[in-house]
Amino acid sequence: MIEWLRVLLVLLQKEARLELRGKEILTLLLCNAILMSALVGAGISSAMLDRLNTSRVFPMLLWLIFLLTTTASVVRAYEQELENRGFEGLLLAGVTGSQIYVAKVISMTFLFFCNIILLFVVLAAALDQQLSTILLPLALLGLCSASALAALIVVLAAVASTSRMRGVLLPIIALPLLFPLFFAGVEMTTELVVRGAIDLTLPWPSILLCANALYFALGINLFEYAIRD
Amino acid sequence: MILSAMVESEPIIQVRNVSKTFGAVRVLNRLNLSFVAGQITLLLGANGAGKSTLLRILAGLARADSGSIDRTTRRIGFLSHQSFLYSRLTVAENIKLFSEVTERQQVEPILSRWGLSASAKILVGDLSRGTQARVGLARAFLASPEVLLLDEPSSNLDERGTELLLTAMRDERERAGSKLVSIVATHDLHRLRSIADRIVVLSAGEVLADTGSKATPDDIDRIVGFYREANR
Repeated sequence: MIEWLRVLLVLLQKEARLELRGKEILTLLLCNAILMSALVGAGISSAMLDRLNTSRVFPMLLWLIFLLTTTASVVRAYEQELENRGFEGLLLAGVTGSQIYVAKVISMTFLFFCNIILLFVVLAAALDQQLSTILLPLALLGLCSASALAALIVVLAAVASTSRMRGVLLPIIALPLLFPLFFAGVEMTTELVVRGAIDLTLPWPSILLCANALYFALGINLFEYAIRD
Repeated sequence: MILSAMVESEPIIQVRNVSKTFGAVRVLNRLNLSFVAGQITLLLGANGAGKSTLLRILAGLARADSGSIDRTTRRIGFLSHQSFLYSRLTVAENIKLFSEVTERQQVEPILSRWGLSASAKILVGDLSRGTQARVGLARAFLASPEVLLLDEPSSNLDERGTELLLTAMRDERERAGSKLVSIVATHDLHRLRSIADRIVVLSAGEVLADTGSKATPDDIDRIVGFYREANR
């Protein structure tokens, strides 16, 4: 187990080094998030919605932009592995598919989490929403959603990578599977914005936790199969 | 003594009825081969004969459609047309990464062995193909492999690089004693023939000629002559 974790740590260092060198995914995520928030903000202000109505559409817009920007940006993350098929070098060195998968999920969760935190801030500013009091529960919700999204998208990116149409294929196969995340995110954010707290008797928190467990279990079992010819 | 000879000739890799198709093209057709320890086998054949596919299946990176591979070891060094390196990491970072996930060897001696010390801080993506090939070889020879699979290892190498490769192969064979199985797919008979213990010629996914594991230099000469004649 200690050896397994040691190798995982080495892989995480590799992921961090690759991202820090190019800052490609982070830049792509953040630019897309800012651009779309600005566009949505301009659209909403030209529609002259009052603050109450704006707060009602805020959660839906937040999660829509989050899922679209992350799905569009993640294709690039897998390109680095495919360039010279570095991940096959790792498999040959005795690294298991599950170690590569877990390292990718952790690094993607971090990037997606940064994305959603920035989105909270930028979109709230663009739509003139006061979120400072609910920032912590929103961040926790963001972390849970980011990890579920990463668990799903890493394995789907591996499946899509075998196709020449991978840039298009990934969003097509990912979006239907993201509906539970989308609705759970929207409903819980609405609860937070309107009531200031999440009602734990509602099914949404359980749905989000189940999505995390299900996507991770699927991913860790399918990843190695997906990356071999 | 008789028992020891029998143990030595026990196959380390056994390929049984392996077939592989890509779309409508059958690349390997019910292939049967076995490889014993302590030998360097040259795999010859025209482009598309199935050499690279066979090596990928032996390395465990591709699955056969049917048939089976019996392999008694998991320590495999593999070099193919892909370098299996990260082009946005430097040479030293790549070697460090692959050595850390295996045996945690010191990076500097590896770089020095392959004449890569001067390129240590250069991104792999910025290197010439020849230098990239050397880094790929350094990666393949990490972790003291028991099976060495090399696909066109000399194709991008200059004379110095090929000399390093041949020296490394001889060194590995000495280090591992009779345990190392080396299979080299190549068109470069001129430079690699000197290290061959056995030659297998593939054509359309089948074995066209095989010197067998107890080949004499005459057997090898005969098969090489046959191969050159067939490709004229």
